[in-house]
Amino acid sequence: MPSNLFPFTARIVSEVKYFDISRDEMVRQLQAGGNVETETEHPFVDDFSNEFAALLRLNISCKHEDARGWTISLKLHKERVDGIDWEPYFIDQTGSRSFGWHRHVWNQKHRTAKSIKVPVDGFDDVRTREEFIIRALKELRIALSKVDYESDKLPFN
Amino acid sequence: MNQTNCHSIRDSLVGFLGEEIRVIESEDGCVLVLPSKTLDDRHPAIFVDQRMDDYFLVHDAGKTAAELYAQGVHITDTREEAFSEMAERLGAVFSKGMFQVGCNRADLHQAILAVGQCESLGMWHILGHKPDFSDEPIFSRVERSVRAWNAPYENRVEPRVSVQGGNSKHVFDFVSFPVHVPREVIALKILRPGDDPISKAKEYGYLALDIRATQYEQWPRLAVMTKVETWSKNAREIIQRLSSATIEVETGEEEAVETLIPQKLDEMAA
Repeated sequence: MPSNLFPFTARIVSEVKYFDISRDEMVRQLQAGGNVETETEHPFVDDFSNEFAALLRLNISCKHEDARGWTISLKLHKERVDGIDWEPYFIDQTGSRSFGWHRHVWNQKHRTAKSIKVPVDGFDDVRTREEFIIRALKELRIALSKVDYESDKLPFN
Repeated sequence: MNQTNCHSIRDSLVGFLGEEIRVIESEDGCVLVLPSKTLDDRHPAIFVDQRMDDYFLVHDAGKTAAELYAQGVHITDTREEAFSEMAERLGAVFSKGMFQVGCNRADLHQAILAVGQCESLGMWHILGHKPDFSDEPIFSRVERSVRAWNAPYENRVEPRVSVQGGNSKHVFDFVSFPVHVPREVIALKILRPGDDPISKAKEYGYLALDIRATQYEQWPRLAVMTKVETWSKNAREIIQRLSSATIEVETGEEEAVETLIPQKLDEMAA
């Protein structure tokens, strides 16, 4: 397997990625510490049907109560390849001045998702961490575990 | 340069700053946007919340730390200490992941500039960040080591081998099949703790019970447990009881599987 998987970034971003953590657990972690980091091994195939697996990390930060300080990012090789956050003012992908919530789009040539910013709708009325997670994960095509184990946990386990 | 020119530069700069400092109003307060740039090409956004008639909280809403985190830089204890020291020198504090200043109206301008400066300087950590190509899925590491294993007999390794249990189908990540020799088939399963290690151990237990009374029960099983520090004692014991051998790897020590797997397979094949 090649060590540099960046050439497959567009494919990985477009596919549904599964992370083995429930939404409730994410909310609990965000309420407790303000951050969530979780990882998955995402299997995919290239154009020649060769099978690969990419180690992907999902980072969410919701420290302050103001949603405008919240960020979510998907990382490959510990580098952001996709993500959503808020800025009061930025230049969008068309070169126009824009503001608010936007998605960071991977630029294969420059190997960064820092500069291409595409405005996204549906985040202006986000107030809770759960709402943020629901909308952001849908946008990023990320699926979570439906099972929340917290209620099953017994003492001494 | 004569004095008139200096004053005209100052006047035009004041005019420029006046035009370029933007403000967004909301129910919670205002957000001021400075025309300077952070190292990741953003404009510092300073949140001003009026808490009392003459008391304001000026802060960055945690954006500096969140942007670093989003771009792959974690706020370690050392970085947090550096942030605190930097904030203190600039007249702010770094607390709960945010640069902030509590002040009255008379000190509001200084507070806004202090937080703005913290936001700009705080992003310097991004300069040292590089992609990490050694960050590899455990599956690939295990595959490489299983294939590199020099078995004491001719063998064939197959990935993702599906077996039919009494009730369900199960998948072993790798299986070593002997070729032309009457030796044992060795199955390998990678176990990640996930959200809840005990349920992962129980899933593995179900696999073990479900393949009882099938030919697959005879296959010695090697369980490779990742992030072993997050598994509970109970969960580890379940897996140990139901495996012929286990390899337990701590977070950050994943490279070790490449030496441990061939050793363990040697023992199992002996």
